[in-house]
Amino acid sequence: MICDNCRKNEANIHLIQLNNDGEVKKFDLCKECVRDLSFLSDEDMVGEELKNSTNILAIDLGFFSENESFDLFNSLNAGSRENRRCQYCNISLSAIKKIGRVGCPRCYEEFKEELNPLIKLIQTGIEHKGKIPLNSNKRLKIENKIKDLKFMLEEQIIIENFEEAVKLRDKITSLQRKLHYSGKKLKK
Amino acid sequence: MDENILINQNIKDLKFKYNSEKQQVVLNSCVSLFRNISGYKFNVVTDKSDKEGILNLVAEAKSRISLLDSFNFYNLRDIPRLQRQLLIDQKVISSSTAQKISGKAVILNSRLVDKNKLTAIIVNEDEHIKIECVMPGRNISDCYKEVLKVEKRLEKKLSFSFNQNLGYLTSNPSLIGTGLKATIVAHVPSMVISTRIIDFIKNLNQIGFGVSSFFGEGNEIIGNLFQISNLITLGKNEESIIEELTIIGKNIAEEEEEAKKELKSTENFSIEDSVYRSFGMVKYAKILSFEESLELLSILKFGIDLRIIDEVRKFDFYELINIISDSNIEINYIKNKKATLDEIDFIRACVVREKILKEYS
Repeated sequence: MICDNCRKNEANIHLIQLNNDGEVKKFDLCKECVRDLSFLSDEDMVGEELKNSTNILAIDLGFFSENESFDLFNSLNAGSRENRRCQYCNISLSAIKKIGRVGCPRCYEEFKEELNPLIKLIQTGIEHKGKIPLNSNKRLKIENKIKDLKFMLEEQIIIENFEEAVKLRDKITSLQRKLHYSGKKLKK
Repeated sequence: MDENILINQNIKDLKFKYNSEKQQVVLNSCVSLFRNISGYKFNVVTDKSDKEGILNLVAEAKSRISLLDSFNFYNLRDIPRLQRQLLIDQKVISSSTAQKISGKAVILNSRLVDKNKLTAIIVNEDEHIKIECVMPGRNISDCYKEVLKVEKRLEKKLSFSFNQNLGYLTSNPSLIGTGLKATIVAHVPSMVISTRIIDFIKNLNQIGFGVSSFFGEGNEIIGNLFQISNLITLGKNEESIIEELTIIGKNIAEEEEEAKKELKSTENFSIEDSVYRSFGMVKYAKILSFEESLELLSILKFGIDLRIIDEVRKFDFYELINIISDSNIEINYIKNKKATLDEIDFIRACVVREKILKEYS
């Protein structure tokens, strides 16, 4: 792909912009041009189109990244399922592609096949490691705690801190026992 | 509604405590938490009645949270134009939010800046709820504590969309997981002049942080002001995001200092020239746009730090940015009449002169 600005170099940075009226524009730029455009603030170098954008996707923050993963379009490979709609909010896959947003929580289930690869690219993995809601059930909390501890355990093993690793392993076993117990109680 | 209703209550309180002695690199810190209420579609597809429903739920929840007693609930359409502009200039709401105001609301402390922080809940922006805290200087972890405090209270009254694997769900896939966006604003003229900033940004990108301009659209950098925020919200927990950004804030301050030292040790006429040119502009210009003022102030601040210029007082850049925004000029200096752009620019030039030139003290 050739850079939109200099029309000479290979473009390896892709910028996706969303205008107010929902119109989507894509720019392919080379590294050199990205640098020039950003730091010389030479008005002539910056295309009018680049300047007029009002609503830039958060993904654009990766503007300087050499990683091509931010190319939302290529990674959302919809193929023949373009016209499929979410059963709950009725948004189509092509609309999601266009605006870079989903319509409802269930879209993440509905379009899992298309969205998960994209999420993997823009995030680190597809596993939540942060806090969970206060009102989510205890079981979920324990499960998450175990996940965290297992992760910490791996780290300790890598740095060969076995003393700490043993402690963590014991914590995990006791939590798993707790989980097993609460599971049994639920079945009764 | 009385055009001045918010002005009377709030404007005098819209003042952070600034520190004019320290050499500042990180001008402010901001943390936002994005949440959606379960049972509702996201705002990409919600209609008017959905939005009303969400507004009512949040208003109801707010009224039952004692922590938010000192906060007021404002429908965006009830906020007069000038105050809306002030909220935009303070970056509480985005300018695109203010373009379509129906069904949107902000919940603000009745003293806008309380204990040196500005906390706000914005309802029905891109996501149902955004809880935001802004503080001057390098205070990212305090900002996080503040939004967390508010979120915990809200979570007791409202149920948020959550999925075990994907965490808190948002319409924007780049926010799912923690739903946390942490940002610092850094003023780094020396790093820009020495081009150190390029490598710094590259390194940030590799660890999942992005850089954009604080003012100006897209890739236009005004006043050597950069905004650094986390790109990754899923697969990292809140604490590590906050910790990483805290370290980045420390690092960028150190890098800027180093770049400054380096520039100081080399004799460079073009740097001196641009500092004195900016001085001349501030001294003699009759009208100054906001953007031009930022550029000039950035270079003058740099000139003071490098001891190139003596005719300019030490000043707090962030304080001045807030004072000379269009809305602040209109509110504090023009009062009760719609000002023309030239009038604002004229007053801005006066304010800048008086604030920073020694001859005015």
